[in-house]
Order: sequence, then structure tokens, then C-alpha cells
Amino acid sequence: MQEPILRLSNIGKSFGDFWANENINLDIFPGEIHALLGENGAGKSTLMSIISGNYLPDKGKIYLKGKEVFFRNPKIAQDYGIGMVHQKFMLIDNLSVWENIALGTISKFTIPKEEILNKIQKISKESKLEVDLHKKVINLSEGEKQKVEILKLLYKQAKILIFDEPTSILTPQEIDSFFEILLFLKKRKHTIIFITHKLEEVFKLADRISILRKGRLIATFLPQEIRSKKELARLMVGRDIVFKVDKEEIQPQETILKLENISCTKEKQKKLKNINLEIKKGEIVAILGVSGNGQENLARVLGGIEDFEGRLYFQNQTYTGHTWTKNFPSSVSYIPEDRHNLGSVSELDLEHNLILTRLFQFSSKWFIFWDKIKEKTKILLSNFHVKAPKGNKTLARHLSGGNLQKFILARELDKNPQLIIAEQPTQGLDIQATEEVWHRLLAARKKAAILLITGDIKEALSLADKIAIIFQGEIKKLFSSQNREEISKIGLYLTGAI
Amino acid sequence: MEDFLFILGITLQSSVAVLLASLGEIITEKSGILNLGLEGIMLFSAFIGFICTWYTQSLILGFMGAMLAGGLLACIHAFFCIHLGSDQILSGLALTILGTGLANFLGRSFIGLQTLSLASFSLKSYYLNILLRQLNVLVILAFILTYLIHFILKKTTLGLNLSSVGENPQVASSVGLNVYKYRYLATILGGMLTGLGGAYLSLAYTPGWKENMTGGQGWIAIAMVIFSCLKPIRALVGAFLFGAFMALQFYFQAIGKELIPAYILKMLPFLLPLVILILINRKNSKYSFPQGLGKPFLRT
Repeated sequence: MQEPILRLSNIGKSFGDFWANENINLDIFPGEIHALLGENGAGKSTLMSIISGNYLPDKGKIYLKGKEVFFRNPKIAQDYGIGMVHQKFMLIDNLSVWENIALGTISKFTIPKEEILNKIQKISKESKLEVDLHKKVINLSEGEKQKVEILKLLYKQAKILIFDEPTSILTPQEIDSFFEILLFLKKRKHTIIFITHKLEEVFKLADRISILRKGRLIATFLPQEIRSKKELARLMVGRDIVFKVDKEEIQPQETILKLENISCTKEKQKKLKNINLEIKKGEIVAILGVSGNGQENLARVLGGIEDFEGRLYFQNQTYTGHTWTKNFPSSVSYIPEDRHNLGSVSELDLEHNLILTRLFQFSSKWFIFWDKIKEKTKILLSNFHVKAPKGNKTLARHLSGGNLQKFILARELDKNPQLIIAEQPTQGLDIQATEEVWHRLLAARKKAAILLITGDIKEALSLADKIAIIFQGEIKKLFSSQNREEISKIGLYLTGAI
Repeated sequence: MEDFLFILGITLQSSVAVLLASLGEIITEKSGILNLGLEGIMLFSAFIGFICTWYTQSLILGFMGAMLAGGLLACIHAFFCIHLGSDQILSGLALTILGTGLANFLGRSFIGLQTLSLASFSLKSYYLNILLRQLNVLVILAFILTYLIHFILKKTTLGLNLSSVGENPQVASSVGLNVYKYRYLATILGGMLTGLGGAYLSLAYTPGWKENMTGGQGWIAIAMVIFSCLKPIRALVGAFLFGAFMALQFYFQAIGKELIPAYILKMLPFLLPLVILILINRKNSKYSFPQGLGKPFLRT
């Protein structure tokens, strides 16, 4: 077998106590297209950032063509011929395409514009990456920006090209042409590594497939070694045992929320397409999906932040997008994913944070009843076991993620809402805090309907009565969480394989 | 004709300090650093320029001292904004207070004194002399600098790198540019040009040291930078505008007609440019300033 061009040996990277990568050994061979597959948070992006010089590994070594190398910054990796196209493009909006491509490479005092343009044009003709070089980047489409990023790497003579979820922001046509570009680059003996969680892309393009799960490399395969998408999905998601959560049976009661043909368009892209859903009191419905498939938008729509088309029925009243955002009912509790910026105000203390959503309960027309607020905050902190170093006067930003989440949960559940929208309620929490949040939510459903928006299969299976799979802005499947046959296919549904 | 040349001469002469400070600020803002300390830098450098000339009896040393002083004050601003990531507006305002306070305090015993001043041109021709005797070598230098900076920003690698650092320091850093270096360089260079503008006031335009002798020209320079959308040639136009109103004020005083009260005349050079700025500038200014302006960049 040939020499690997890039060899990772025992790579480890930690953020605080959390190991994003652990003991990763990976060989990349010259001229291959290598797919890196894994769920959100599996450590794919961290690993690629190490290879491209954005992070230094805490452990392990990197060998390039057999020689050990240290990438202290991206520039050094670039000089060794390794370039990365980030998910968020690294381009300067107000400069033209050619300026972006040549930036950082010009050594002459005056810019040899003609020379640069000729060189870029030659590369873009050869690789069929045609972009108007004089346009400003701000006026380009996402697909064009990606071409500029690739040109940038080729201009700097990168031999190993890394792509972080390259197709996530492209239109289907753009994806097809992107694949052609990749195959062309491969023909020109470039080595390509790309991160993805879309299974069909892997089978279409990859020469070899590596799977990461929870920061560890599970295995590297040839595509023909894997019999089906199903097997790949199982490898990627893992066969985690479902946590046993004591869940008492509750008979669903009257319908609280009904969505009828809810759609949402943002920046000319349909983020949600005709969502229909019904939630009853006493019921937890989970919206399950890989991030970027519209569940963020659904949460913002229902949380009264984003406008929508279609109709929404809440407690026998009909709302449109306009009336829902304007007269957002106080009996709805929204627990947002971004607890630091949307769920709380980090520079205010907990008393102030308490009344963010509940001022109406603690005020008359002219006055705010601070003594009542004080008392309430105190009770909630002790009832929900929130560890606040300075009690009521703790600033929200001084609470740890888990404690802040418990506080927000306390604030919202104590409001006695009819509907709770919980978005990724346990993301980033440790096991203990997670369990506590779960128990609170399960207890809350006695009095309310709960919509749980999550990317965590375990969470959905543990809590929900019904599971709705969201994929590319549509609800693809709705089934009971008791349905064993459907549950076994969740991995496939999530990745759009069926 | 004589009147016209007289006004033109004073216009050119009056615009130089504002022009130099604007050019300095353009360079600084291109790199993403906002320096609102121009007034302080200008006054302090005017004083240092004066005092250096007073003791050394050398104009060259005076101007050099002023530029050094300007660069030094800007360096403080640079350190706070670049290394410590402080609020740039706050740091700039503090710099103004520091510069003016220091200059006025140290200069108490020199108020009203004069030293050498930069000689004006003179020629045999009568008409040309009306114009030329208002001008000196620094006026010409300021115009040359305007073009030079225009050229550097537009056509050179230095200019491209500088604006990329100002637009998006993360990207600039990822292609291997040293964001800190460029920002320091631009802020200090900007301070030096502003310092030269200050020295022009105390050593050429109105020779001698007077308390608060900049009289708000630093703030006018900032207004002109906003008007210029960071284009040196437009800053030149803005500076002329200021100079023209200055000249008109002198002209009306010189011919002694009490058409307009003197106080209103004195106000005009400061008021009218601002009004014009507001009217001209509403539409397109948003996109012509660096996206990274005023935002701290700390390397990860």
C-alpha cells in the first residue's frame, strides 16, 4: 500500500474538562476523497481545525509525508499545502473576488493586478471554477462564494483540501456542480477530506469513510464494506441504550395547539414547508432532526420571534403569523436553545431575569412589586436546586450552563403555562442536570402540552409520547414513541435515507 | 481678482491642519481603529512643536517633535484598543481630555509667546504673490501626501492588507497577516500626521502658543473623515470646504463690513461644513466604512 500523505497519531483535544477528540489515529492517502461522518458534536470540525492549523492538539502528533509537523496557525498549514473551506466562509465582503483570492500572497509593493488576474483566470479555466473576478464578494451567491474559497486554496497551491459540511448551504443544483468540482480535483491528484452527515453524499463520492462518535474514531471503511445506508446510520448514531425514565401514564386531554400549513421563508429559502401538527394537554411531542433542517425556525416561529405563513390554533383562538408575534399569549412558555442570549440577560441579576417573561404577574399599571419578586426568586432557587453563588443578586452570566437552564425552567414552569416549547433543553448539560430537567418536564405535562424540539434521539425516546421527524423543513414522519419498528429506523429518517 | 486670490490663498492655508489630521484618521480607521482623540493629539503636538522650536531654535526639530508626540499619544490609544480590547470611543475621548489638558497645563507660562515660524513663499509677480505669500512648503506637502495616501490605499499591497485588516481581522489573520502589527502601524502613523497638523497651527498658520489654539479643528477633521468615506481625495474637498468658510470669515472682517455679526461669521466654518455633511452623506456612508471598525480583535 502507498504512503499516507497525512497521518494523525493519537490526536487529543480538550476544551476544559470536555475531550472533543480523543486518541484519534487516521491516515489520509494522496489523491483520495475521504469522508468524515458523524453526528453533531462528534468532534469532526475540531479534528479538521487541528489539521488546518486553527487549533493546536493537546495530545498526539501530525505527520505530513512521514515528517512530523506543527501547525501553530493556519498560515503554516497553508504553507505545507493544507487548506480548509470553513462552513462559515472566510471571505471579506467588501473586497473583490480577486483581492480575496490573492490576499496575503502578494510580496511586491504595488499590486501586480494583471499578473494576478491572469494567474487566477488560468486556474479557474483549468478547474472550471468560473466566477466574475471583479465582483465584490458581498454580491455573490453562496455557491459562488464556495468557488472563490476553492480558488483561494488552489491559488495557494493547496494539495490537501478540507471541506466542513460543504453542501449544507448550497441549492441542489449547486450541490451537483460542487460534486463535479470535487471529482475534477481528485483527477488532478488533490487530496480531499470532507465533513458531512448526509449519507447519500458519502456513497456518491467517498473513496474511504471514517466515522467519529463522541470524539472518538469508530472506524474507517471502504464504501463497498458497508452494505447499506442503514448500517452506516447505525454506526454513526451508535446503539445507545435508552435511558429508563420513570414516566407515569397520562391520558391526553383537550387539544392545546394545532398548526395548520405553517411555512416560513427566510432569505428566499423555504425553511419550513407546510407543517401540520397537533398537541394535546398531557402530551409531549418531540420534533427530532439533525440541526439545520428547520427545527430552529420552528422554535423561533412558535416562540413568537419569527413571522410565518399559515394558521395556528391555540386554546380555541386562531392566530396568523402577525397576530401570534404581536399578541404572544402569556400562557406559552418558550425555553430557547440559546439560554445565554435569548433565554436570559447575562448582565442582569436573577430577580430581573425572573420578570423578563413575567412582569405582568408582578406589577400594576405604574409600579413593580419588588418584594414579591424577591420572595419568588428565592423560593424558585431553592425549589429547583439552582446553585447561585450570590443568591438573588447573582448575575445570570455567573451561573453555570446547567444552573442557568434550571433557573429558566423554574421561571417558565412556575408561570403555569398551557404550552411549553422546549428547544434543546439539555444541550451541554451533564447527566445529573439533564435528568433533573427531564423530570421537571415530565411533571409539567400534567398541566400543559409540551413541544420538545431536540436533536438528541435519547431525549426524544425518553420523554416524548409522539415523535415527529423533521427533514429539510418538512415533517417526514410522525409516530408513537412505543412503535419499535419505526424507532429502529430513526437513524435513516434523520439522514433522509428513506 | 485680488480679492479672489486672497480668499483662495487663505482657503488653502486654513485647510491644511484639518486635512493632515483627516488623512491620519483615514489611515487609522482603514485598519479598523477609531481614534476620536484627534483634538487632544493636535493640541498637544501643537504645544510640543512650539516648545521644541522655542528651545532648539530649529523648525525641523519642532515639527519632528510634534510628530513624535502625536505618535506617542496615538500609541497609548493603540495599546488600549489593540492589546486590551478597550472601548475605542471611550479611549479616544479620554485621549482628547488628556491631550488638551496636558497641553494647556504645561503651556501656561508660554501663552502668547512666539518663536520661529515657517516662511511663506514669495515671488516678484504681484498677483501670484497675493496667493503665494499665504502658502508655505507644508501646504504643498499636504497636497502631495493626499495623493500619496490615495495611491497607497488604492494600488499597493500595503493598502489592500490594511483594508482587509480593518474589514475582517479574522480572515486577515487566517491568511497570515499580522493584524496587531498593521493596526499599531496605522494608528501611530495616523497620530503622527495629526501631530504634523497640530504643529502646522503653532508654527505656521497662527505662529505662537495660545491656549486651546486648535479650536475644535480636530473634531472638524473627524467630521471630514466621515464625509470622505475614507477616501483621501474627498477628505481634501472637505478640508477645502472648511478652509473656504474660514477665508470668507477673514475676508468679511478685512473689508470691515458689518453685514453679518462677527460671532456668526466665526461660527460658520464649523457649522456649515457639518450641515453640508449631514445633507450629502446620508445615503452611502454605511457601506464605505470597514466592517471591523471599532471592534476589538483578540487573537485566539
